[in-house]
Amino acid sequence: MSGTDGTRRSMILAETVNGLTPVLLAFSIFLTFRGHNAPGGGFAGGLVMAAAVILRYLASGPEAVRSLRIDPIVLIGAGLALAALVGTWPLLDGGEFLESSIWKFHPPLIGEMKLVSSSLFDIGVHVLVVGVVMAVLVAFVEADDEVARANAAREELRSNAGHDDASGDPGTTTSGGER
Amino acid sequence: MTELLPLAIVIPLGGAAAALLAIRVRSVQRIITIACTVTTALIAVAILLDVDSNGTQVASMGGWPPRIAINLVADRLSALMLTIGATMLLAVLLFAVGQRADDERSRWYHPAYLALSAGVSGAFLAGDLFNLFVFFEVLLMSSYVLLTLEGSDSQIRSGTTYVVLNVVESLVLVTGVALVFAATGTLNMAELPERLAALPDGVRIGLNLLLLIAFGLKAAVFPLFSWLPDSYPAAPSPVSAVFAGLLTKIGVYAIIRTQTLLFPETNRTLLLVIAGLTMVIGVFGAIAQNAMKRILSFHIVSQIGYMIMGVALGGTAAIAAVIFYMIHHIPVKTSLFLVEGIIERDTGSSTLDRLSGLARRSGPLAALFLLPALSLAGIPPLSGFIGKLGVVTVGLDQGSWWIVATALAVSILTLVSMLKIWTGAFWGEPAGPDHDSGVLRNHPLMSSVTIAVVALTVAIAVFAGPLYRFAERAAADVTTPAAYEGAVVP
Repeated sequence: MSGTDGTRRSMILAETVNGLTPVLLAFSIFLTFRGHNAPGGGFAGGLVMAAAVILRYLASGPEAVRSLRIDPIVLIGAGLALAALVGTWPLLDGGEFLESSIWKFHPPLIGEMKLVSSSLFDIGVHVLVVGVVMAVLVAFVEADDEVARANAAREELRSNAGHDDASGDPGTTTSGGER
Repeated sequence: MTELLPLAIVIPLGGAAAALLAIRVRSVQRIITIACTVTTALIAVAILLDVDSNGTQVASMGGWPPRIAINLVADRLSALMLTIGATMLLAVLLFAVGQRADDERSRWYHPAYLALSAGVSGAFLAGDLFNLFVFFEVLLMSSYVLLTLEGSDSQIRSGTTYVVLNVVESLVLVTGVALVFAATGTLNMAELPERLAALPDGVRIGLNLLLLIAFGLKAAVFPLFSWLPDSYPAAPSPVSAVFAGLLTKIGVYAIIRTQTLLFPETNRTLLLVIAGLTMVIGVFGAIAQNAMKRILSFHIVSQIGYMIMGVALGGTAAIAAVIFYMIHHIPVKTSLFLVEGIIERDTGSSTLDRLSGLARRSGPLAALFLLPALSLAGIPPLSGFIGKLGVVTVGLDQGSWWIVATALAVSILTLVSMLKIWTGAFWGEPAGPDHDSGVLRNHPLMSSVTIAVVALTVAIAVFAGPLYRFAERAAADVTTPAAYEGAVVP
């Protein structure tokens, strides 16, 4: 009922999304780390990653979200906790709230590499944004399931009552299936 | 001690994260929320003491220079509001825990409540207009969740009005903020006074009006108040107690900030008329209602009128009176909603038709209602009298006879509608079976919290002298933009 049969899915969309997902994930990570000195950052990166999740949901239905097996609430909590901790950390050192520490490395071959603690803050934001979007999706999926269950129950009631039109009138059951 | 300022925001926010991670274990959530709220309240007190002895504190985020950085600024007014806000949040939290109602047991209650406290702290400490907007959003988002926790039909219905109106308010506010930035090139509240003063009159009045509309909607000022008596009564009692006590007053705080700091030279006759209308219409609304929560909600509107009246009169003395009025009003209003919560929990209803004889059933409960109720109406020697006296004296000094007359008349009408609750719910023969065990003893935690808050309102009356002098110092800070500027961008 909730679209697990896959008959109404567009194969073109599904294949495109399959190809697009790794690109989106890579781009989202690129955006997040780029954000320190250039347009981008955790929020934009998180949105791109969330877009990948939404696309998969559109292409292959609620299973795409369920199969991730991550509780979005944990993502929200972990992201917020990480951002809050990174922000507070410098206070212990006598610095200011949200002050960024910078570490420079010189690994062989690549040249200079700069790590900043504010990247951790961006990662927290990234995780948080993905979690929020997933939480919204999950809420929709659950609402969808509920509608589908309600429709099924109504159908059953009607067929038990002996009505003739109970034999699968598609008009009454579309709300769950067509996303 | 400036490191305390961000902590007042980040501790509840971090607590919200922890409460989300512990979403399946309610007892852990409860401990986290109580611990974070207690800590925030202690931090607020520390900030208050520090600011009073050492002057305005500024924390620039990320160690950037204050002209560039996001600043958190605590002057006496913000520190005082922060303290009273954190105290009320703690009291209402304990009440909710003691109530053991479904709303506190919802797994979203604790994270949303902590996010709300972070928003409240942030709104009081924000040193620029944009972050004021951001923290308004934080507390609004959390309030949407808290208002519709049970998901009942009536909550969703009134929640929809609340959300739509507040989204419109945010839109107006962010437009105003964007236009201020376009006109002046800064949003830092320390730099704005000078640059706004250099603008042409028309532009400045336009900007002022946009910000006033946005904050006025938040503060439930006439004619933008109709959402309040509609949505607050639908919320669970502990939630409506904190909304009623605190949230509208954050709107008033923002109005005080913008009117004194950003637009000190403005003709406020219109605002004064609006204040009068807010008082009158609020109290008439209260008289017409028949459910306790709705009467109390309309009273919020009418009381906001007194505060706006003080702001509109202007000058250090008026602002001092408003600050004292807010400090008195927040615990008084909260305690009235808490008493209502006890009644509703005990009898299952707070509609006056169904209640009767509560005074005979529980004398102490009646006293707990009567003290803040009389205080709200402005009966001496309670705190409300001192608050009203302050505002009215300023009105007389400035010769605004008509607003003083309105204020006094509204005060009597407030008393009338309080008497309506008194005769409806407390007087007469007890309805139903008379269990002698006492209403208060049945709900020990709820009662002790309510008693503590009522005691606080009495303490405000007893220590009115020192408090009023503090309010005067705070008002002196607020009404001299140069002092604020000097503290933030020396």
